[in-house]
Amino acid sequence: MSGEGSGPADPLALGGVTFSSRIVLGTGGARSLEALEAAVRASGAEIATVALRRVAPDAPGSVVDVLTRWGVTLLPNTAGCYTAHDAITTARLAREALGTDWIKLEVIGDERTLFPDAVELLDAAETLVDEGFCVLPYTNDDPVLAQRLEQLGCAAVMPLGAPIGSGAGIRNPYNLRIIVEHAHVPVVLDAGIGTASDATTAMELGCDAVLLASAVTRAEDPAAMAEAMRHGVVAGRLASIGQPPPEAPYRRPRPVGRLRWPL
Amino acid sequence: MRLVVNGADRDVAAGTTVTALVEEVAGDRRQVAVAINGDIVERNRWDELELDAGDHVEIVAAAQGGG
Repeated sequence: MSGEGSGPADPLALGGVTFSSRIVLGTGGARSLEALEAAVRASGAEIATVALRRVAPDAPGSVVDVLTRWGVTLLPNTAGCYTAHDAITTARLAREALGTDWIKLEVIGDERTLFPDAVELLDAAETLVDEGFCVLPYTNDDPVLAQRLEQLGCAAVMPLGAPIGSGAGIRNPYNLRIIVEHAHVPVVLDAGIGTASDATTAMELGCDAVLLASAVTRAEDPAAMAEAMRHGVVAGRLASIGQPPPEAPYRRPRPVGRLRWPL
Repeated sequence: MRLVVNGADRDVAAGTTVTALVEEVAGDRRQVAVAINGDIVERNRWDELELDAGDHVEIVAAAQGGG
């Protein structure tokens, strides 16, 4: 058993690579590159997502430079895509630009809630797996959909805990538990985490890692929140390994026998 | 000749290659990708491929965003 829960003795295997951190950091919402850098360092994240956007001539610095400086693996996302076609094109462009086969696949079905479009998602996942991508799909907390994505050859499944940016935590722990029980690929809780205890809960439920973005990047103090998340994830991971005794209304027989003075 | 580059009209010399346009738009940034009229153009074709008037060119790079 691991001593740290997020150290070398308990690595996360994802897409054929091992990581000692179980946090994937999203870069959306960061107020500045400096704030992002501080959050990356405090979180200990070894993977961070980046979007693909038109080149702006006056772009302030490069997020890629900041992330690679700290040895962080770049995970391009298809954020903002609403069709399989757009997500596939974005993935191919990302591969060309960054030289990575990894893609955080996101196909949004509704612009208010940012819930995934399951039909387009499966379609895009199938094509991208066929093209040799390591596909990490953002999905609903639907156990059947998670199974379908795994069967298509996705390298992980990334169910939401609650809508993106809501910070509402894990609204359906039962489904999440079922997804974890059935999965043969890593389960990465994606979306909904609002604070450190949510990250702990995700890990306690058996998730292999969590993705955090706005909970950290939009926090008053992103570095402090990132560090809190790091501890929260380690705590949850260790609790998941440690397996507490089953919950019961009360304990029988009593852990301590009855005591009466004088003996 | 006139192109549409990242959504904006742009005039370039006839015979401009993808490599030349990328240098003009993205400077010395290396980690960019190019699509012309919706088709991705792999880097090993940038030097030889000349743009045509009216081409819609997208030049993209990694940026902060999303989760």
